[in-house]
Amino acid sequence: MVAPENSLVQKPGSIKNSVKSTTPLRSPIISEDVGLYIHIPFCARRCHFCAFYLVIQTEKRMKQFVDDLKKEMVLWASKEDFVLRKVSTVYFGGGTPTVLSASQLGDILNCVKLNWKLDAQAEVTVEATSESVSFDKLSALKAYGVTRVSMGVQTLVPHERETLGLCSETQPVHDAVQASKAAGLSNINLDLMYGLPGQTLSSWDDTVCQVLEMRPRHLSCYALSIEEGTRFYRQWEQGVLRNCDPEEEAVFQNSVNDQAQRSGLTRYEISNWAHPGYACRHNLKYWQGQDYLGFGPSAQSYVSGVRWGNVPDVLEYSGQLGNGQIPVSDMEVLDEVRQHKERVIFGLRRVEGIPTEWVDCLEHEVKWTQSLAQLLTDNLLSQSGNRYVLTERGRELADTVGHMLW
Amino acid sequence: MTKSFPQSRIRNFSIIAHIDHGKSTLADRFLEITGAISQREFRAQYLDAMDLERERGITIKAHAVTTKFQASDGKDYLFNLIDTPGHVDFAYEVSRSLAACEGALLLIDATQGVEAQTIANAYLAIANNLVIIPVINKIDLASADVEGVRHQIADVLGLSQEEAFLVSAKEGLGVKEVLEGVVHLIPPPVGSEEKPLKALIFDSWFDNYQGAVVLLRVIDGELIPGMIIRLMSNKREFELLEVGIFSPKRTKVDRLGPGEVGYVCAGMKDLSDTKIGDTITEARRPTESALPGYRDVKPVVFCGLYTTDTSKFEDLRDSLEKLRLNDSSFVYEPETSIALGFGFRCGFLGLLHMEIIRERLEREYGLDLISTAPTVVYHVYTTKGEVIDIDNPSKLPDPSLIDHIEEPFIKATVITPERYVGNILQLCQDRRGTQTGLQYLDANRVMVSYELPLNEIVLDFYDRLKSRTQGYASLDYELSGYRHSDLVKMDLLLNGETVDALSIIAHQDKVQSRGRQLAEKMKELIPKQMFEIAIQAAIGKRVIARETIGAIKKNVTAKCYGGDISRKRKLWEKQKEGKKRMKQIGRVEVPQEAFLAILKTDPN
Repeated sequence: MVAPENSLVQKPGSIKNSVKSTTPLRSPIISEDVGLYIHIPFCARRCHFCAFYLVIQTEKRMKQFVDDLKKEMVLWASKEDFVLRKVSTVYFGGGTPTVLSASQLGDILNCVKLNWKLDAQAEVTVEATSESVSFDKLSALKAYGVTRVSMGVQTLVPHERETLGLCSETQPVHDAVQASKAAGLSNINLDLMYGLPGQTLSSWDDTVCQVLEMRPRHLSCYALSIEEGTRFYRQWEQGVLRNCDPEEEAVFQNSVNDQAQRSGLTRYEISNWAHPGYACRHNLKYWQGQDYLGFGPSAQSYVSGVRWGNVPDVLEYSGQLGNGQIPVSDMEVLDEVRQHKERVIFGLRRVEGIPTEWVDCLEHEVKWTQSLAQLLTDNLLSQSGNRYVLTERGRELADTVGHMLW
Repeated sequence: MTKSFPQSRIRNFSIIAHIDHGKSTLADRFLEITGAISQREFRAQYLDAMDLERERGITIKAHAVTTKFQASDGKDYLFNLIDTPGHVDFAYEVSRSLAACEGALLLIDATQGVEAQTIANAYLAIANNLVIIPVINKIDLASADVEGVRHQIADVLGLSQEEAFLVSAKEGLGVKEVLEGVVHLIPPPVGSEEKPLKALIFDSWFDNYQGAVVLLRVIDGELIPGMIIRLMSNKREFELLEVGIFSPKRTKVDRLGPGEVGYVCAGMKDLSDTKIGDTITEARRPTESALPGYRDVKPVVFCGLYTTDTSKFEDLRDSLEKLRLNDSSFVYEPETSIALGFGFRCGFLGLLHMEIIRERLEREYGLDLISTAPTVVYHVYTTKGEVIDIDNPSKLPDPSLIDHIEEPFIKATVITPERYVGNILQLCQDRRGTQTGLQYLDANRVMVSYELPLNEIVLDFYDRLKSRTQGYASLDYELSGYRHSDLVKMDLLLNGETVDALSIIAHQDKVQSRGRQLAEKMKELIPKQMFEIAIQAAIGKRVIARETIGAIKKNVTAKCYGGDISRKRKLWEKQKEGKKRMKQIGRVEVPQEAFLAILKTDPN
């Protein structure tokens, strides 16, 4: 194992030490276990709403990438920070992870197992599109240790799918969900989007209804947000596309919530519903201020109060790893106060809210405490027992709440 | 170089002109021809040293340059060119520069003709008994109307048109002839070397190393380093440390004699010692009588200046102090606003002056400022028989205590092509003006005179004048005194709280529409917040306009995972920066632009 001696960034080991020595945390935010996020930056094509870093898939690029990714994992695994830490979740995101072959994904997972302490009960999620999976492939993934599949459906209305730049046919979605279950991967999440151009409440209800009939364990629904660098953004600039009205959006959200509850899915975060015991353990880490380490170009990490992002470019990523460097492009050290604030802000996105003691560490932040009191007065936040939770209005204004508590 | 110069070969003169008629370009040509600056050093508008001066194409401060010119008689002449500001706000600076000269070149753009400030400046020069040489510029342009301008010189200004020189300062055409004209037409300074020292201070500024640097013109006697000088106004005495000229670079000389123009340093720590217009004499052998000096210039336009970041108040104080060292014409004193916190009420010579000071504070001192709407000084007569000067609308006493209010009026002169006369009359009428004259300068140019309340001018009158005449009209004005008017104070309230910084004093006939417009404008400018915001315009307790800003009902529900967290964080960080620029009124966050909303309403 080669340590990245000439790395331009701080070594993670030293980050932890420095953070600990200068700003010791009163409450143990540092988690014992760690989640791994693996960014697979390839897609068959770019959807019109997507702003994630990705490149169009080619065999050569993907082969090189898998090699680079393994190099990165080995580099990090040698850090003293991680040698003792258990990996409790692995999340393959993208891009489209399933454009890689089952053996390539298996190769990556084997690398994780070889170099990291992967927990026997670990949650291993793979994001997928219906076009890039089959029964055989899913069976193979299951054999490699994948436990959960997250499928980007977005909508099941053909013309809405076309608008998004997806294949307009919906049968492949049904087939893929079927295949996943048949392969023994029944822990399935389906992603949906509302606030789409041309979408109506009845077309949305129709999508939701069909999706729930597939009996997913987990459901994620997001409003379309028009991001810079996307085709939608250009259309928005030209005035062809307009932002969804947040108040209309509330109607969509309430509707999906009602239907999801009826089919036994409980909301546990602003945009997420699950059957009992099926909340996404990896994503929970994001909202609970727990540590996660990201691999692959543009992947984000948060470890021991330090946040960083990898270079958002496959070639640069490859080049830096080739030189034995960790491909980090920007990094910031969050002081204790900032860590606590973030944990509160993102923790409140969960329906069960946060323990009131999380706020104790911030009692000296006068302005912040005033904002918190204001949120309680304005009925955006409520206290139930020893927990703070967002009220329904607070959930609708989650961004404003976050901003106020920032 | 100055030591052996005979007084008979010294010429002190200014160039006076309407803005954009080419004054700085002509000065550049003079410096080139006389070799004062080499091609290498040359940059356009050499004398406009401040960035702001170059950018805006205006001269703000007076400058003086000494150069040598070899005339056709084969002899060398010493020229002191005293540059003057060209904007209506700075008429005072023009007049004090002129007092140091024997002659003036009145520069007129051949394509524009006589403009409002051409006339104003010409009158100032006549009042100072200067020899005026008309110079018609831009004769190379196709639209030049040399004959027309000649007629205007004779008919409007009453000057001899035969003496007018024709030049293109840009091309350098005819410039040498003008310099010959300076030699032959402008008299040398009279004054005696034998008499006790008498020198006129016409500008001063502060140098961190040498203290006050004084720009002066020697009338009688001589200035020699080492001598003890006395300032006649306060009798303070200083040892003369350095004497020099600007050629145009600062150059030390051994002496300055009668008629000469230059600078002195005498270790004066306090710029207030060097009063513009004061007379300097020698302590050992003082002159009997001081020069007449200048009238004190009084600021006429006021506004509140506040830092957006309240913790920067001290920085603003320091910057104002420093700025005032070099510009004694603006005044400031601390004030407190409920809405904006601690700040300063500042007085300026005019709107441009205000803009310039504000811009310099932001640019040179790195401050981020909120300024309140400009106002004039009102004379308030109370029922108890007192008279109070009010330069801040929020300070106006309760109406029950006011007997009547007087406001300042101006005499405005507008020169415009005939086709826009209707527009101008309409504008002046809308601004409560009274016409006092209308005169054709030639077949298609008209000079219109109006009496107008100054408070109607400080709100974008000049911009509107320009836009209604496609930029052709020119304006000059002077204060003409105070008059009784029906004025009331209008307050703006946000959720019931008065925003003191937005109170205005307006005429009874106009306050209704101003209130409505202001409320509407505020609605546009204040972003939706988590609660409803009521905007009211009120006179006393009587609400005259009302608008409501609805509450935000919902944010977009976006996803929030690893990468989204840092993206959100950056967004909030940015919003927080934006928030710093907001002011909190009660619970309402008000963006800075809202405090200038009053400027964006149409006062008509």
